[in-house]
Amino acid sequence: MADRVLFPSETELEQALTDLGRRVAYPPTPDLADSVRRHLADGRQPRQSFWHSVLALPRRRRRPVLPRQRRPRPFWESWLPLQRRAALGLVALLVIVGAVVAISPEARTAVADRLGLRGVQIGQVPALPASATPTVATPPGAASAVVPAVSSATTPLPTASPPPPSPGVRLGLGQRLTLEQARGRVAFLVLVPNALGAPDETYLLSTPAGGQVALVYYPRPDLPEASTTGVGLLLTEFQADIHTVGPIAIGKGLPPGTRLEEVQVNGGRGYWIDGDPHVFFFRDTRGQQLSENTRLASNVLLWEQGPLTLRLESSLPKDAVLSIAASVQ
Amino acid sequence: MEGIEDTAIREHDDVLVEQARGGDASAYGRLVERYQEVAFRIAYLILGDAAEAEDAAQEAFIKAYYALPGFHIGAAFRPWLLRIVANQARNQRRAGGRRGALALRVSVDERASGGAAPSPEVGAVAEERRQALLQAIRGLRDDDRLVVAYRYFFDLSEAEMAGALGCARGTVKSRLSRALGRLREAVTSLGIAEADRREVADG
Repeated sequence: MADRVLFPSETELEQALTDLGRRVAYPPTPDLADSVRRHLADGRQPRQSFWHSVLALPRRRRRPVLPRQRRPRPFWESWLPLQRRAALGLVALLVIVGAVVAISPEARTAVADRLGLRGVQIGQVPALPASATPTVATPPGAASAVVPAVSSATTPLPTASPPPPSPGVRLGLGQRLTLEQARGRVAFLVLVPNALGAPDETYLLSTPAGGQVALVYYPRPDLPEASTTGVGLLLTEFQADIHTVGPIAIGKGLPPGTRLEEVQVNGGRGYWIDGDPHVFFFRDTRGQQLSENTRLASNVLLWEQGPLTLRLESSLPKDAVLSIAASVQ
Repeated sequence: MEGIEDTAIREHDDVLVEQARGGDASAYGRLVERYQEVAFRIAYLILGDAAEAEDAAQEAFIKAYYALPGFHIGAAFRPWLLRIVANQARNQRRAGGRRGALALRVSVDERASGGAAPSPEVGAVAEERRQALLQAIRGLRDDDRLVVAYRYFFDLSEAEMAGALGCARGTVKSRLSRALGRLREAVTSLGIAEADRREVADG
């Protein structure tokens, strides 16, 4: 009878594998250097987003919010393939954003000085892909964070809306806390816009290092709902230190239809961004991983105040936002 | 531990990466030359087809070029690249909607083992074991095959494997151990099936 145990010990198995590795007959390696050089010289872009390649992002099937039995397929479920395309389109854009910003240690500071703020990277992108425009990409961990931002010409308008998930889930803002709890959990002084009063919801996210606090204000007469966030106003703040947080905590990719204007807010540097929606993403500063959080944003004010970098997103025009920002203390 | 040679390679890679980031296509070409073999072979182990593997490896190099701004200077280039290659190959196969039959073969060149030619009996046993192992590897799922190949075919260190697999260093050992466990199971059941077949054949 033949020996039934081919590799009695772990060591034998390992040795056999090493031996086998030396003997595997692969097809001859083609000369890729030439073809790659040629493709790059022609300016060819990758066929699809590098995001999935670099991050090995799981290709999750988006699940609907509150799935129910025996109900007709909700309209937004039929949008999901579009969501996925949009997300892919967006991350493809981020490649370009990444490509335009050098991040060598010397360049980091230079870039932050030239365009961007502490912990913020701003880059120009040629255009938003058509499929990206109507949608908001899904943050990680959300059952479905999909909220159509603008109606698409090719997609029928919804007749009824499902109950929206909480802004924290939808926008990937982190753990929901009270304002007081959040204040107790971060080392920096959490600032609040006095013009608006206390926020309706407060969240704390562990990244970037040191934490990011998000204040959510529900839509109300003086704060119309912003299509990109589904809330009246979103204010996020984090302590951006190039040395501890890393070069970039959040990033923006601006297509040509987006305007960027340098402004002063409470004595600090800032940028006002409006016009066409732009790509907004933030970086998980652990290792080289970039967070999956990618979505569209419209009217945004970014500024530095003391040790903090703040970001205010709403549908309000510049003057109204600047006056709210002036009350932040 | 990283040897002097590894350090030298990494430093040289860093220089090439920096030049490539600055738009120097020939510097990137040198990186491609250096890593095209391992990239192509990894893609081949996933796709099982030379033309597909060439396409995947080429696409991965193009993607890696555009992703260079995100590469952390000081980190090892090879595992970073291999992660892109493996994901490209996987995505490509998924997009192709078919499972490639991996046509792994063993070279007949006995010199590969580095030793003197074995006696015919020893040679036959060794060949039987190799074929069983090869068949078991073909039957492994992608993730397991990749872990095994990284370690034993391409001799990646634990740190490199962590980078290439996109997991923590601590996870590498357990993944490798699980893959080896499944490989052993497969090879054992193949051995038993083969023995049974012979018994039947021998009457």
